[in-house]
Amino acid sequence: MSVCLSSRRRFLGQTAALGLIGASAQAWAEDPSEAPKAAPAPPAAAESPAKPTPDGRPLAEPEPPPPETTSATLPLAGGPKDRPLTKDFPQKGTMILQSTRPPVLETPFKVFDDDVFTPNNRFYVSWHWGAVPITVDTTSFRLAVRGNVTRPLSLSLSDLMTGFPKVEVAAVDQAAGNSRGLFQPRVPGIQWGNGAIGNAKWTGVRLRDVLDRAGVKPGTVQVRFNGMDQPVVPGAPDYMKSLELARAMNDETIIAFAMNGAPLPLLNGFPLRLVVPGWYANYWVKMLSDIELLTEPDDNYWMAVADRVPDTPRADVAPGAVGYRTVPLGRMTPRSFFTNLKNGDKLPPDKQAQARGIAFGGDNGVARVEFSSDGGQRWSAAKLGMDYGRYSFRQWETMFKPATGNVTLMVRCTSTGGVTQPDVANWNPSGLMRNVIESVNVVVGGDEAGGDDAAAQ
Amino acid sequence: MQQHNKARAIRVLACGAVALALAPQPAFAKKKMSASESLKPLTVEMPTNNDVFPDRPGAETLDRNCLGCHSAETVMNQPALPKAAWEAEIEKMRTAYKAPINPEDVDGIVTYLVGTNGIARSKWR
Repeated sequence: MSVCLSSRRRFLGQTAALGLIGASAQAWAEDPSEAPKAAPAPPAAAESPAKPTPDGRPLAEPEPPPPETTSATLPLAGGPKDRPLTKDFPQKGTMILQSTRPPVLETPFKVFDDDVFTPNNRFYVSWHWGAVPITVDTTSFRLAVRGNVTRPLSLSLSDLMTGFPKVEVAAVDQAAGNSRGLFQPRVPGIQWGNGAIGNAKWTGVRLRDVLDRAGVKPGTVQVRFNGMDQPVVPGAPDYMKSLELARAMNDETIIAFAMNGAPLPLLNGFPLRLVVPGWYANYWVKMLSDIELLTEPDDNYWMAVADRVPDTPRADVAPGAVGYRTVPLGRMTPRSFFTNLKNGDKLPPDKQAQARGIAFGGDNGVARVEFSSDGGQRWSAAKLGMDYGRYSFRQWETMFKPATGNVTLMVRCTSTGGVTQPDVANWNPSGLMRNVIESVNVVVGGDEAGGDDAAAQ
Repeated sequence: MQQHNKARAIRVLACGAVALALAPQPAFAKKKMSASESLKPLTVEMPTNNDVFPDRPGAETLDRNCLGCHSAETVMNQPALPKAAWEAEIEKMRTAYKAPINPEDVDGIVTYLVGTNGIARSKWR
């Protein structure tokens, strides 16, 4: 019955999902990792007056409610790093508040330690405009398919859900600006930590099947997607994204009506969302209500001006560079993270320790995940968890015996496409597509070693 | 229960995909939607944030020009940026996002942002 860390987590993806989510909720809540030492928190003393914990407390059955954590500290390249935690958003549990208007919520990173799939109520949220519809009448809702087609369609939800073969794909949904707050020099935009990402099983119908029903006419070059959200200022650019016809007709692009077996939360795109596995979430248009087949490349703002990256390897340019060519965002690149260790953690000396986390291959599967406990000098292969398909998170874990002192742990992923995470971070002025090897600095050997190099020797 | 799960996990390791298919409680089985299940109408309530900008010279100018599109926290979470970067941001808000910013207010907004940006939330709330 002892709840050890490794059993808390679905390394093999077999623990009953609901039970586990319930059980682990406490683990995140009491985990102070998100809480800064000098948090600008309200009087915390009032929340945990007398901790009635006996000495051998680990196995005590009815745990006292953990002290409420009210803020998170993100691992950004500089301040401000603190954000409030909020439970105020509909269909959402505890989230890191980046912005109330428009709604922008980050997933607390500990969530990724609990399951290879990210619970819907902890899944990150990002909108461009504050006017997100708060009501969806699913009986009158229609998805339009129009433009360069033989038969324009106006599909009800039931038409869509019952009229086409149903498919499911496990895929990582990651904002292109995930980890923007780690860019140096800093760049403006939502200052995400690493939590603008999540992994879900998406259920829906193939976009291709819907387009075939409408009849794609010759001369179609792109397909444009628009959702029900609107700009709040007249004349401002409505959020729309376009895919090349070939990518749209690819078997893997789907119109999803369910996420992890349940309807999408409104803030994740209820009732329908485009899912483009392997591509950044910027294309995964939420509240999808309009599909237009175009005979000319889309010149709307969100394709022609915004959401563009330098046309260089890894979208990398020198800070201050000008005059380079840009291209629209597209495929993701491989990344990997620690989920059970974070900067400043203390490990006992002379003992085996476990490191574990998540990895994904971007637009491909995970070929291997390698771990280093000496700052990247030597690498060894980590054990991989269940393979849920090339677009899913893949859990990894490894045991290691660290040296004493201040130790830098690193993890890197190589995709089945042969792409390995680089050891130097890319930079671009929009803070997009970060995928450098991540590292975590831990202290091995008790309090004496903490932060003191002399003691560490 | 944990033991049970562990035992199951080991079995799955050995049997791979077959065990996955046969497992009594595959992930998501409990809440699986059927294709014929209809989506119910949904109405949610969104939280609001009526905070104004931290009280420094020019705050009222930002209140007037910026809060229509985003809450103050969205701005105050930004890092310290050079003056030119803030000028470019304001210009983008005006031209690309059609923010109805009074041209005479631009300098004041930039001055305010250069003077406050990057400070910890604890110091401005």
